[in-house]
Amino acid sequence: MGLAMGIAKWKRRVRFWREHVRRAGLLSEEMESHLAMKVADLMEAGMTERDARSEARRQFGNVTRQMEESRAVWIARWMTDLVQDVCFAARTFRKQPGFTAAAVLSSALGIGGCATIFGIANVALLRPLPVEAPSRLMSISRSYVKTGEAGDTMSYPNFLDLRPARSFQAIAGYFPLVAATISSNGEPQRYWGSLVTANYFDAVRPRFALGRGFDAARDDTRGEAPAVVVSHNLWQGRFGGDAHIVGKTIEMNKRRVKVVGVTAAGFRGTEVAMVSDFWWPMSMVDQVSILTGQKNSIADRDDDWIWGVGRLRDGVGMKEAAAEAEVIGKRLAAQYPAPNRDTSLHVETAGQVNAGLRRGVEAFFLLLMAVTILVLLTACAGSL
Amino acid sequence: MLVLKTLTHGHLHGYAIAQLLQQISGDVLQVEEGSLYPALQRLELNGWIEGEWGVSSNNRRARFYKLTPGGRKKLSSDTERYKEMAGAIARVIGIA
Repeated sequence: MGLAMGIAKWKRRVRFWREHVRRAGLLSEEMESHLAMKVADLMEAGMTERDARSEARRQFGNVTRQMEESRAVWIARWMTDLVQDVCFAARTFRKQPGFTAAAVLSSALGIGGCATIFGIANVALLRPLPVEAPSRLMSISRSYVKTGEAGDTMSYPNFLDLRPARSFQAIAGYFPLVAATISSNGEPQRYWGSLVTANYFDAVRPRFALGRGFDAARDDTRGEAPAVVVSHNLWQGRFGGDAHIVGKTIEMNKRRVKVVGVTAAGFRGTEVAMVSDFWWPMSMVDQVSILTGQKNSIADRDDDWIWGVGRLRDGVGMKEAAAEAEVIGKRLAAQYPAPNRDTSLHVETAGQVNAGLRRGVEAFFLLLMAVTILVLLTACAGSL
Repeated sequence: MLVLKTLTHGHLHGYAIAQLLQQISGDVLQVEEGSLYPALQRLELNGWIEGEWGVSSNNRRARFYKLTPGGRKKLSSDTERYKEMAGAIARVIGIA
């Protein structure tokens, strides 16, 4: 099949298919016009209008049936062409196994690539967080008034000033870049987790496989007995799904830490690009060396490291919450101008790619998609 | 083939094609006029004819058909085939 001819044929066919409703209308108009001309001719030959009409109809035959037959022509044509093309393809494949292999391989690559990218995008960009009412959970970050960029971290004192915001039932803070080496149950291995305020699980509300979240009355107190919540992933992978793990102590960074809960499968924190396998409460802030090396990350208003995640109060919408956060941001900028110059607070639905990374991530996916589509197009063009 | 042949006379609308077929065949070919329309659809779908809306001599909106180059080719090859076939039949009947 010549390429140009093939394309012309397909174009015609697609046009017919797309227009077939309009076509049916035009065809019936065409038949009406035929009948009218016939009636006029018969009347000129001396018939009465009544006789002429019935004679015209008789000679024309059943209009509805002709319409149906015409429609059948369009559809049958479509089908037989399809069958022909399939047969032609099958014959070509048999005659040219090399070509077939190349076509199948490139199609498979294209389709596989699309499926993979969709899989990643689905997890990264589309799927809601596995928490109670995910659309009511907001991520709160620092934004820059001049550029409109958002997604940055804030200082702990700023976070504490944000926390009483009336639009939220609870606002928790988290730092998702904590590395810890677990040395119990096998070879020591490093895992990534988050340092969170003790109300984190009350605000985020993932489901738990075992145990519970932190004790808000106790686990924010610096130096309290260390506790940890582990992910389903870590529980299964490292501890073989030990049904009695809650209450046991495990060794993390050579310290003994008591396991208080295991989150249900699927929950890895609210950050798409920074997944967590364990959560430490604020009481353990001193165990996070990058936060306590030379700085006092709890007291310094110019040390930005924490993100907020808050659950909206019932009946409050995202816009109202965003407006309130902005007011608080402005107040902070006025009250503590040195660390907060030209900054504000930004609210958006949690579980999205961090606002600061988003443009890059989107560009990355677009690029991947474009490459895959090119592969697919190459596959299609090669098969023509 | 018959419809294609009538269109060598120029642009015609459906009614004119039906009349022409009847006249030329000397009323031997008696078919329902309406069955012309599925046939026209088939020819158009194959790209052998093209239809275009216009106004007939008595001022009616009608669809005029004309042969495409592909249709002309099809007609000549069909005519060839028909001649061969008719010739063959004639010879067979002549011999019998």
